[in-house]
Amino acid sequence: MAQETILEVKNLKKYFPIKGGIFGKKTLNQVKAVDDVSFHVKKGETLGIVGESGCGKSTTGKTILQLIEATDGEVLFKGKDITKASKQEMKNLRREIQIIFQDPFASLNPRMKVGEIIEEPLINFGLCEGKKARRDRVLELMDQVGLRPEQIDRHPHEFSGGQRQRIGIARALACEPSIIIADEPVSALDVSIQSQVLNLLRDLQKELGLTYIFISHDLSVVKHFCDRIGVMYLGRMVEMAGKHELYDRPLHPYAEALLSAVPVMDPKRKKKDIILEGDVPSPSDPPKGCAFHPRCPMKMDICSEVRPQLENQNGRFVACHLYDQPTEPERTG
Amino acid sequence: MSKVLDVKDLEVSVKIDNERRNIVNKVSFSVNEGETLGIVGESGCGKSMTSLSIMDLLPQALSVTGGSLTLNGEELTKLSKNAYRKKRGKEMAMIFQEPMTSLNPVYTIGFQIVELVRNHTKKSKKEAYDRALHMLKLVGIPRADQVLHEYPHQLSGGMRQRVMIAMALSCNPGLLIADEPTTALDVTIQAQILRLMQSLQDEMNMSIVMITHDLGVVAETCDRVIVMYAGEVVEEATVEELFESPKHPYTKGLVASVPNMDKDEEYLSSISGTVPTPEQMPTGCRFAPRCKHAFEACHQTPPLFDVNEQSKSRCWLYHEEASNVQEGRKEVGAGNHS
Ligand SMILES: Nc1ncnc2c1ncn2[C@@H]1O[C@H](COP(=O)(O)OP(=O)(O)OP(=O)(O)O)[C@@H](O)[C@H]1O
Ligand SMILES: Nc1ncnc2c1ncn2[C@@H]1O[C@H](COP(=O)(O)OP(=O)(O)OP(=O)(O)O)[C@@H](O)[C@H]1O
Ligand code: SF4
Ligand SMILES: [Mg+2]
Ligand SMILES: [Mg+2]
Repeated sequence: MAQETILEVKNLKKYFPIKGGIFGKKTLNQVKAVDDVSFHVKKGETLGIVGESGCGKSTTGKTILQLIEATDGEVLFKGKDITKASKQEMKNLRREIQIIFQDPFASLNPRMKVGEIIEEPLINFGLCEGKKARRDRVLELMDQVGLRPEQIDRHPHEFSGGQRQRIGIARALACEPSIIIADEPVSALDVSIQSQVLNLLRDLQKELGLTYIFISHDLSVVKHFCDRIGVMYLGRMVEMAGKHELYDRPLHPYAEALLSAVPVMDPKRKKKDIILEGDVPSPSDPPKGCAFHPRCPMKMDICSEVRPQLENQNGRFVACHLYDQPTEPERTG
Repeated sequence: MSKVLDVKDLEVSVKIDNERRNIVNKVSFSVNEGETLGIVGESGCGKSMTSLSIMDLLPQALSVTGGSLTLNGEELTKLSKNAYRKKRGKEMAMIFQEPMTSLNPVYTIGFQIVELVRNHTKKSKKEAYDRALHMLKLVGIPRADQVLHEYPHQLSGGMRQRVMIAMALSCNPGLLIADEPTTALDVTIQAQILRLMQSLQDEMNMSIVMITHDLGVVAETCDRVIVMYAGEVVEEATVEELFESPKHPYTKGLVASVPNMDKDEEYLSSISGTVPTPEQMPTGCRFAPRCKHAFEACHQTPPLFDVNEQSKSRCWLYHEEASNVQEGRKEVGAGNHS
């Protein structure tokens, strides 16, 4: 596998203002949706991002693409900071970095026909000249994602949830991107189509050397599909490791709880999931110290005081005081 | 155990260019009091449309064109719009697959829940508001008091889904139809929501129809399961039987497609081909064009055979005279990657 870093995210932050007051104009507080996240992705690699609902996965994806403006931080694509890119550069980047959205219904124009939706990027980016050639390409893309040629003139609302997701995938592929940020791309699909789509994404990766950032909460899919995985909690990356390392031995207590809660396909097996006690914390008022401490079964005194940093633990990264060097708590405490 | 919901030979069709096409074809199933029935099946096979017809919320182009729907002994298909509206929310409630299509973007979350609660109960505004807050907390929404004043677009995908779950559960419905209720949620929250549904079920004997493609969730929550393919029920089984010994070749392919956490596979097993569109629906078994075991008989429409006490399968391999293909029956399934 190629080793060249294609995308690097440095100290990325996205704070959303919470408006209030009588006219809804006053900024009362902020939702720290993404709070100081750093990671890199190598060319041809698949980086998985998992984590609690609302922890900032989609926001991370959208800020990378500049669909929402970052509050702070850098996003380096092939070494160049795209948060500072010009309009023209950004247009080209929008082709190279594609996103498959989580909510397929909200992201497809209801007035356009499926064929037009998939054709649009071909026209916009001049990827395919000639009406006939474009139609053939659209049909080819539809076939790749498992849509029938007769469906080319239908509108999005005539499709089921899973079928709509495939339209979004076809549109992304039409751009011939080098990175695809896939936000829950298969969660609306039934498992047999899910496996078709994952096999397809893998084939495309091999053929075209695609790089994926794969956001998902389905941990069995992530294990199957990703090379490395980042675990997010409340706007921060709390663990980052190779898939085998993570699944064999999660280091962060949240990662451990997450893995233990995966539903198993055996009605007779009663699993013992680690039930997380305590309230889900608010990203507008994150707990002091480790954001996970109010729910953490392993919590120590230091955890409610000092925020643990993402640190190297024999080649993998974890942000948790359990892995502090023995002298460190004394130094800080 | 008494039947809460009974669906018999339900047919839903769509009008395209003045032509009616069946989307749901003679689907029958029932749900007992306090029971959880799972519905799984290929994307586009009609799961959502089946549930929307029970709720009388089908999109405009679609309509129920046959069969009967009975809720607690009362025929639903003959109800007036108004009578139906009174049932929704209280007697039956639904968690929709796509939160954004059912949450109103111009009203705050709090307003939407409060309205719903006030429509179905005698609660005062203040009580309804407290109820809304309580429900949001129950489904694990952080900063619930703020979220009440926010609009749907300000929430993450999973938060919207939980808001909808809170709405559906806010009036203690007797029957809950949950269409992919936890797809946008991470597994710890999913576990929490499933436990919440379970406890409401235990407390109030709520019946649940659980539509999901997550077979792990099916295994953990359902008592019985129906498997749908191209608008038809192709298998019905107890949850134990379904996983221990799936019968229909489609079900086998489905179960085999799930990524195995204990194995490293470059490619996943999958069923090759796609579901036929209504225009090209085969006359016999609808799965035949994709089935490795299709034989002569499959040109005829198979009935739902009783395979044993625990399961039924719409596949000719389970006809008693199909013993010459019995060999095949053992190996049916485990689709291949194509
Ligand atoms: N408004 C519509 N007009 C025409 N066809 C429609 C319309 N809505 C749905 N359909 C068709 O009805 C079929 C059944 O759709 P339904 O939404 O019930 O599928 P589903 O089983 O819920 O799938 P999924 O798992 O993807 O949600 C699909 O093939 C779809 O194309
Ligand atoms: N436009 C917005 N305005 C205000 N807050 C927002 C906005 N978009 C997202 N947020 C907040 O940012 C946080 C992170 O949201 P995000 O959508 O990134 O979560 P997520 O990890 O993708 O969750 P999920 O798994 O549920 O999709 C949430 O608390 C959400 O309420
Ligand atoms: S730092 Fe402390 S509270 Fe946070 S995960 Fe580690 S042990 Fe738990
Ligand atoms: Mg998201
Ligand atoms: Mg559906």
